[in-house]
Amino acid sequence: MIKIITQFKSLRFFVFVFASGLGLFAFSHLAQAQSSIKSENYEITWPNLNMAAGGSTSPGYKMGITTGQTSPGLYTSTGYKVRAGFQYIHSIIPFYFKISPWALNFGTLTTEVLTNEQSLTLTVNSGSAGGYQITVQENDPLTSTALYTIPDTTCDPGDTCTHTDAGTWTQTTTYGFGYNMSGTDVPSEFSGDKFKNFPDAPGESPVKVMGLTPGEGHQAERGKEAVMKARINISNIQAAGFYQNILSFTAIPTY
Amino acid sequence: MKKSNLQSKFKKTFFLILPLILISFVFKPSQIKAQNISLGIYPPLLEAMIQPGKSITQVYRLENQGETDLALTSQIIPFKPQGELGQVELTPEQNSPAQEWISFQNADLKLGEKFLLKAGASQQIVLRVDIPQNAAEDDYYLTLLFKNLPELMVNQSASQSQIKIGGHLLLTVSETGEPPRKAEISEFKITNAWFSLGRWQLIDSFASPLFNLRVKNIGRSLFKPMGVIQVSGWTGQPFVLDLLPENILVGSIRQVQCFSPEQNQPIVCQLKKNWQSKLLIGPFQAQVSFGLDKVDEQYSQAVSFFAFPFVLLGGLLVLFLLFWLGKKVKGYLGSK
Repeated sequence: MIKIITQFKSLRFFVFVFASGLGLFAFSHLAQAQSSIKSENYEITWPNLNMAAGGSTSPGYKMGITTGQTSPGLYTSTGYKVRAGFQYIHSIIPFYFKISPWALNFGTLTTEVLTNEQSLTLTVNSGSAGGYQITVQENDPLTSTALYTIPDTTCDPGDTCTHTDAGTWTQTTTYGFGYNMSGTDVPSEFSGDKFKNFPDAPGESPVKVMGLTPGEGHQAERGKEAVMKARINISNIQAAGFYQNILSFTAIPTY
Repeated sequence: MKKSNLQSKFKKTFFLILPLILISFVFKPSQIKAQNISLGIYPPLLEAMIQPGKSITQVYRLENQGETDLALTSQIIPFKPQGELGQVELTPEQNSPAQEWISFQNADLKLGEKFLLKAGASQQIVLRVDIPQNAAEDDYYLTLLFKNLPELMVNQSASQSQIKIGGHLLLTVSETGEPPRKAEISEFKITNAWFSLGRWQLIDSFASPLFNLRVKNIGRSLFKPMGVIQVSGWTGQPFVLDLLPENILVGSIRQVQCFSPEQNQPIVCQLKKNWQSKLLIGPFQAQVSFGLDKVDEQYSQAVSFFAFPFVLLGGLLVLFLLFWLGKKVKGYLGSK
């Protein structure tokens, strides 16, 4: 009988601990959801900015967002005409861009394999933009503190790549640093798991990795996502060290 | 005895591991969340026509919706149009006199200065444009760019991301408010026509005519083409596509798109498949007409096309030939 009570008590204790654990687990997820709701709310609260963020003023005058022409007479009196946002888009959802995670951390690299890969997710809300483009550029090739470099890949000899042209990268003897894009609004040349290397600043101009214009079928919407898969392959004579560089992602709307 | 020892060992191990699992659940999401960076800006586009000697201010909203505090800086960069679809190329190596006219009116923030935008926070930026009295009457195209300042990573092989976001400023300096605007229709054609015969383009009745309109700005100020593509034929009933009023910058060509009032979205300039549920057949004329910044017929051009069910008739002809051939073969085999 005592044994049964002890077992019952221990079972109660187990249930208590497990329930607490579940509660904590659930709470941790609630906190995450709250954060996401908060960021959603920003989009909902933006409409108030018609007066604040969208408003234009001039000494002695105040003007909201204009969508039509003002007469030349009025222009002469005010001295300006201002239009904020796109004439045919009534959304005031901010043009928004997110990179997750904020770094490609490759850890310890294995030589002559095609599995030293890391990914970034690019997210865009283009609700208030007529179209958009995300471009990328690196400050330098991956460089170690001792100034050794991992060069940008030129892909396989049979189907080479540059920072503007995509190519195939299937051979373990093809070395360097490159990337591939997949997901929404990415350039079609990456299809078939093709790779490019990053343009080097300042000599090489940034290249588009994501984006659409109305002429290409852009629809104003939230949560457009694309994935950048970056790859490093090094030979067994690559100097040891920590190799780093900076990838600059620029998000701009169309005009 | 042995069994109870095992049970006790199992319980001890379980209760030792359970808190660790729970801790990992509690802390794991925040670790992942802390890895992203993000920026939002509104408005993404500012168009202003200003007289020399006048000034305007515009409030921008910059938001850090990510999980990481960002050390930011700002910059005004000239840009030029790239391609014909409204894309831009930032040209930081070039200087524009208009860069000197722009400043921030915030008490605690100057253009180009470093500032901190905490995770989840937003910053109002009051942009001021002061046009000098002697400024040349011209167009000036600039981008207000915000970027984070990446911090050094220690003892890791990694590519660090720098985030930049921008909004464009299209400034027109004009004394009168009516700067010289001039357009040229570079091309107006049907892109899915089968072939051309003289001034006529031939199209299949079951294909929806897809129009390509390219307009060049040959004036001294940007404009928006405002007008329609009107298709009319022997039925006498016109069909209309509204042009999308997009900016065409000085010296550039833009492929003009259309706008669907029903969908409230830009669309390609194409007559719908279920166009009045009628078969498109016979001679038609498509005329584009538009004004600059106002609905007008200042500029117009027409294309003529002839719609005919080529595919359907071709199919019927093939079927007839096959039938005829079959009959011939059958007759030949029967006579043998």
